[in-house]
Amino acid sequence: MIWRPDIAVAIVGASLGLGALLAVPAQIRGQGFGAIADVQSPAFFPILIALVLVAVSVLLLLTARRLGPSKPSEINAPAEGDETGPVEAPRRLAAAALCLVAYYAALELVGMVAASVLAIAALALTLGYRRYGILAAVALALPVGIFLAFEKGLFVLLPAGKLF
Amino acid sequence: MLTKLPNRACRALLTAGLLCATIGAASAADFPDKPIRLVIPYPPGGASSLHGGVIATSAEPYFGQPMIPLIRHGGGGIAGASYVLQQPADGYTLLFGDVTINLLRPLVEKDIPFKIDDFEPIGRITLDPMVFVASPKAPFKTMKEMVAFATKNPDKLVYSSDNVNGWTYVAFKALMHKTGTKMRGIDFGGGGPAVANVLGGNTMAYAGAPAVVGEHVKGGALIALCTAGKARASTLPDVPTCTETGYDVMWQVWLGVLAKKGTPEPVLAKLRDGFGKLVTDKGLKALIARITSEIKYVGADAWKKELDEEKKSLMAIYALTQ
Amino acid sequence: MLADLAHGIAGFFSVVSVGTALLGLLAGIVIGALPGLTATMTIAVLTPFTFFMETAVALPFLLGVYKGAIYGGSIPAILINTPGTAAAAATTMDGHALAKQGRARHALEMSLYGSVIGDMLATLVLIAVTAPLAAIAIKFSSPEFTILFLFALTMIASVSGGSILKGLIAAAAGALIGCIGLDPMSGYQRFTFGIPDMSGGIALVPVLIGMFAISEVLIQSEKKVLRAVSAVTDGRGTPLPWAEMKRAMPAILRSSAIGTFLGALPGLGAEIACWVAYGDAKRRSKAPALYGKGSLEGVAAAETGNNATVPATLIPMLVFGIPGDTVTAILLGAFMAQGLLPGPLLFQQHGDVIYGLFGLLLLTNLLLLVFGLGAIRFIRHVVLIPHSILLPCVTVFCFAGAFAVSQSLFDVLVMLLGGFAGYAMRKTAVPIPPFVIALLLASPLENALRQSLLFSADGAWIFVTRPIAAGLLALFALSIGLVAWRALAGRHRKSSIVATT
Repeated sequence: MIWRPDIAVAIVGASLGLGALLAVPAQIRGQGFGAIADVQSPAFFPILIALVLVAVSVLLLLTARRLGPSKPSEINAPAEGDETGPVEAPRRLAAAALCLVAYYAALELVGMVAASVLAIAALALTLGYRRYGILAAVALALPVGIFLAFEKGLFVLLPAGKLF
Repeated sequence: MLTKLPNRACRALLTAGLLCATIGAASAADFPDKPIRLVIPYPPGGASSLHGGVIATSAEPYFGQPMIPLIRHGGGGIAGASYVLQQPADGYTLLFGDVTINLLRPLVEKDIPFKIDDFEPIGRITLDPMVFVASPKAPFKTMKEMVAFATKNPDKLVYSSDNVNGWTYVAFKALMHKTGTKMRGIDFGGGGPAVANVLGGNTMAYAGAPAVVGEHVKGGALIALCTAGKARASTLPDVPTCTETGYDVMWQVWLGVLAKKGTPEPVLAKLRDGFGKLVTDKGLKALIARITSEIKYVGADAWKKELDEEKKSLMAIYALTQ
Repeated sequence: MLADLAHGIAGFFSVVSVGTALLGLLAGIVIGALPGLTATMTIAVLTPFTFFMETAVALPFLLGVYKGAIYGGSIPAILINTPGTAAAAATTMDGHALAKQGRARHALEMSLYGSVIGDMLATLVLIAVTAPLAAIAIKFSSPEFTILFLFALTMIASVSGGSILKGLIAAAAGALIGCIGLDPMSGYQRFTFGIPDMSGGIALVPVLIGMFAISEVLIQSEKKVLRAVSAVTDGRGTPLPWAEMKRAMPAILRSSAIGTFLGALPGLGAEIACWVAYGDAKRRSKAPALYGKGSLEGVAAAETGNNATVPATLIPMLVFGIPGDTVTAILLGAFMAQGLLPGPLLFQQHGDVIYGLFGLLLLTNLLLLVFGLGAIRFIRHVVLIPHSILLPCVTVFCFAGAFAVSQSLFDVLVMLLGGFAGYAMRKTAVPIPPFVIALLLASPLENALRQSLLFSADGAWIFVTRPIAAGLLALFALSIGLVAWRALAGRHRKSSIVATT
């Protein structure tokens, strides 16, 4: 059943478009909706795109509704239809998401290398990796390797962290 | 002398001060200890990237470190200028600016995110008159014919422009004002895309730096109409001045190196010194000649005076052409 | 001409040149294969090093890096559903599906052969018909580009899975996000909501990495049991059968043509060509239903298309001195530093250098084949690594890569948000490629559209009054018509089936 997610998609799309339209006067140097007529205005293009977004979203809403519970006939069947199925392991998913967010937060606190060591360990364990020896080795070696490659090899600085 | 000071505190402060000054001078003495980046705020192919590339290639012997040209185009020069201002004022990120982004736009437009004084002039590199050119496919071959065409067909002559208040934009505005005609300009973002379009016959005319159009004029791909200077350009001696063709349009544009305001004086001194010597380099001069251009260097102090003068005259030109 | 070519090749055949080309290719493949490091970024980072070298050394290196990176991007696309560069986004479609079926080696080899053939054919075109092709390319201006961009976006929306409407929503959303930051023409701020980090806009690479790689982490973590990429545990796999190559040949040839032509247009790049080639191949395929589920032909089309653009981008640069993108801008700089000014006089005055360059391109092409095969032997064992350890490692690379773009933690945040958004999109069958490519195209499209409307007082009529634009528009309208017609016809059939049951 794809039609219910389609309605959600349509609503998100339309909201994004409408939101952008409403934000125009505040965000683009006092331009109003009349800017759609003025090619030189910085608001011209965003307004145009926002309108297209709203229009297509509405279209999706209408076509999704009208066809009811049967699959809407599409030119291309979804390439990976199996991805839209129900979540098998919601707790693991939540844990993985948490790991990612924590990794981001940790970057500023402890710096790239330390955060990465923790991230690899946490994520791998969350995803079910159980070969602790290899995990420890990789978790320690990879961040250091990346650090060397980026900072020394490519002269690209990585986050340094307040504590580390 | 230290022992004569009233109390210990003063002495300590003075010592500390001297120490800091020494360290400061020492770190300036270390400048540069990594490559310097020259930010080019316009798309590749235009005068900025052409000159910037040549300068960067020849710079190393004069600074002890390589100079890397970095193209950051967009927003009519604002992307590049903003980028330089976001970097620390340590002399490692310089702007290869021009009259548009460093003078005209901050002067006449309201919402530019920086002021003219946010940049510290180091040295002016070039000063060229704009060269009006026509596509071979255009229905005119001389300046007179072009103006005649524009008079007879208002709003039909399409020219390649660069950006609002850019070099080409102002050149054509001045021409339109002098001749009372109406022409259409398409803002392509910079000299590179602009000249590409006139070469392809998509537009009829263009006005650009000798470096941008020179090769094409010499090869016959573009027809030179006139140069907007007081005398003929030495790089294009066969092209009449616009005054000679009957239209008193004068518009000279410069490219120069600027640093972020607040860069320490010792670093600035090194930069000024380096560029001053760089422009005398024989290899550089040869390359510059190859791109149909020439160095018209003016050092920081003299340039600052010129810029102040130019501010006034620009306001006058601008007011006229609105 | 052949004599010049031979002479030129001899000039570039020094051990040093070959060596640096090899080094460049290797570096390029590795960097292209790491999600987070893109071809353009690599060139930008490595260019300063080339300043120390002479042209004979710097050019082979840069060319090698670029070619290697464009090919290298397909490797993670196939193995872990994450394009290493934006140009490999189309390869993920079928490449990863094949990997999941245990045919990773087939996909990797087809990708390589397609890339090499596309590159070779484009190089031959470059050698033979540079000037005429450039003369056509230069007639393309803003109206033509506008239509091409819209055409490409619509094509991507229709072939990247999911309904075309959802694809268009993704594209429009991507374009809207692309409006954040500077207005490309005037430079005024848009939609920054007072956040200084937003003033530069939303960078493409963090979004690309987030939506593909980070979302993959989340998608995989849904599963009860994670396995290795390939269900088949035979790590060696079988080499690509010749029959498959033969079957994919027509698509490869057409994709080469598409990639060469699109690459010759200044500005347009590999990122678009792969999709246009893919879409075209699908349209003409004898087995279109396979596309998206593991079509080797699809992989071939995408990779041939994007690699063919590489030699072709040199065309406007050599003939008119117009650099189309960062790489050619750098090459232009390198040329000029050596006193070689591109343009009509270049061929006459420095023919030997030009032919040397051509020889170099052919050489790097051959090296790519050799290196690629070697790399595949080594890489295909990656399919044996369990996702549970592979993905965390990839994640670390992604975080590093996202930060490295502008040394900004904000970009890492963008990547993270992109990851969650990408996850949501995958759960609701909204295709990701249209979003990412629209983000990439937002500024060029806006510029092209606004410039087009300035061409004449008639505004939008310019799209029909210019002959090339009108032709493209007709093609575009035809495609949309076909798509719409098929959709309606399909719906009719479905509803009549429902009615009779």
